[in-house]
Amino acid sequence: MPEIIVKDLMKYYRQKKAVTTDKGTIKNAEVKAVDGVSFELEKGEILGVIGESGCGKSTLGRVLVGLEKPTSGEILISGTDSQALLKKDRKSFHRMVQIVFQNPFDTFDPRHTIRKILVDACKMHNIGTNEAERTEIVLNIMREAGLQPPEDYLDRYSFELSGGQLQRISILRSMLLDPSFLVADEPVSMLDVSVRADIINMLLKLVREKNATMVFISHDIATTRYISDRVAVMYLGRIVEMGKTDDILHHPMHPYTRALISNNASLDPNEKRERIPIPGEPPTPIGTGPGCYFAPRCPFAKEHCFKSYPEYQTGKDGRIVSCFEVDAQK
Amino acid sequence: MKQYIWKRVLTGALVVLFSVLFNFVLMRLAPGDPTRLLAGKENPNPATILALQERYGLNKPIMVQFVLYIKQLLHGDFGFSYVSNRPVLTIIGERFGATILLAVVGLIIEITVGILLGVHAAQHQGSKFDTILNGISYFFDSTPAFWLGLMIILLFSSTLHLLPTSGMYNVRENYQGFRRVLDVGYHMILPTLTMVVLNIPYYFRITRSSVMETMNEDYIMTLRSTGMPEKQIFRKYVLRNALLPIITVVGITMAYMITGVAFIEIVFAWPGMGRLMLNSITTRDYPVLSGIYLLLSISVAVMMIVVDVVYAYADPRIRYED
Repeated sequence: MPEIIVKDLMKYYRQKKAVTTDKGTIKNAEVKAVDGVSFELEKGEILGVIGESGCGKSTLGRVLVGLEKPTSGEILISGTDSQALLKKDRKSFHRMVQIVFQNPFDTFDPRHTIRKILVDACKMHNIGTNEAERTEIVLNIMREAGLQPPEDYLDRYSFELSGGQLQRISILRSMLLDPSFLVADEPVSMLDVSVRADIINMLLKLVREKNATMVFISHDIATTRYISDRVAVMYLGRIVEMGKTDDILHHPMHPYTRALISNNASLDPNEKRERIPIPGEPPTPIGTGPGCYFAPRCPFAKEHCFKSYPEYQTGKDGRIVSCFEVDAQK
Repeated sequence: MKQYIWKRVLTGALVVLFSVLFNFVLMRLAPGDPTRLLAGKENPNPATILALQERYGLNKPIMVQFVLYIKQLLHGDFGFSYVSNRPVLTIIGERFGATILLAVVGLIIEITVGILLGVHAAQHQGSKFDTILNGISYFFDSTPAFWLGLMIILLFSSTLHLLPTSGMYNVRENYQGFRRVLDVGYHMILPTLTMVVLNIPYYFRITRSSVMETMNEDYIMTLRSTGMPEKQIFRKYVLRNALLPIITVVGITMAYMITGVAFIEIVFAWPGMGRLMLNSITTRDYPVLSGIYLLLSISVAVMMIVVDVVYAYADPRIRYED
């Protein structure tokens, strides 16, 4: 049985007055940040979620870890409904499910030292019996994570540390509780390129060691490719294509995926690629439908694309894609 | 931390020195001549004027006057009032207590009520309570003190005959002991009410926006993700972080509390420093004015230091800057 099952997850926000893509205004609009997302993850699997900014990636992450309540849909973790678990025992839910945030500079209370932040987290979850023991636990994991010597970091404030150091600590904070499911919400996008690889490797090592399941949210295709077993591509709150990382990145089917990947820089300067432009800005997820959400910007859109939303087609390698104009079996 | 405090104290001393100089020069640049007022006639005898100028040292160059003034100050001598010929320190001393009483009582009420309302409104953002209070706060924030004071007098004293219109105590009865305390309290109600109604919006809005901003901080989300109960997050993290801007605002208003109540004192004929200052300006009573200004600049400087130190204590980011 899969470790994580997400079924038709939706998160809508109410907006008193909204401006739609064609400049009209709607009162009491519904912003469909996450609009029917389903996937399953085996234990220890890493799913990369990619898409433009505003496509609902981060909202999906926050809903998955229980920071926001889904409008509808289910999240089953080891077979238990997350909302039910959250109601019954908040602490044990958050111990199982953790998140690493994008901006390490804002992740920690500026008035507290690293010691207080990490030791307090242990204390809250009854890890260790006294202050000394907890400090020892914290020092150990810091040492393992390459923060040497760890004593130097303990009594510093977050504003005294660099982004890379803070993100390491942020990852440690999440993994301290031994979660079985981790969401990493663009964990390296705010960091210098030079430290990104280190941080990614540290995260990957910890996740593999603990055999944790992870959803890795990113807009950086190269990083996602390196870390993920499977990739889901999101557009306006929906997954448009999902499958094994290499399949998706080497043979994208959905026009949106194709455009996204063709616009990504390649390391090989001789590689000949055609860039597929995506005209226009990503529209706001208000008053979408009834047709395919991508149709207004899609170079291959036909008349029927505007009439109904394409169902998922399942390909032979387990890939799913929602587009009328492609044949997943090919 | 020690160095930090010393730096602030030194800055404070400089602020006081410069404001003394500035006030001294500014007052003497203002039109009007105290000797003419003192001589008391429309066309005074030039000899009287000269004698008065001689007596108060006003015929000397302004720089010499300033040096003499500083010398006097360092000896604790604030001079004598041109008008009443009594020592400045005595005059200020009589008025100081009344102002402090009014200002401190008012501040305690307005800060407490303002912060409580602000926190509550931030917690129930967008609720009826929040919307209505917000509207009221804008209304009173743009109301002039003298107008509100007069309206309150009109309502409570002239129409309802509940409370006295002015003064600090009943001059006819001259109560002693506890009766006197009650009498002062009775006279304080209206001025305090006016002051509090006018200033609560200020604390309300600062608190509301600060709490709302802190609630949306990423680190609050982090705490939530560790499973900390909402109540604990709010009490221990949101409120404490939201307090920082409030400290600054409270500090600033406390620094200006003496002048802050001046209008209220005038409307309610409260025998405090604000009224003394206004009277001294109209009579060009330089020594009294200099004394008041000195007291004001010292209180501003001291409060600035206190705020800086409290702030550094509350926020490690500030402490580590120097």
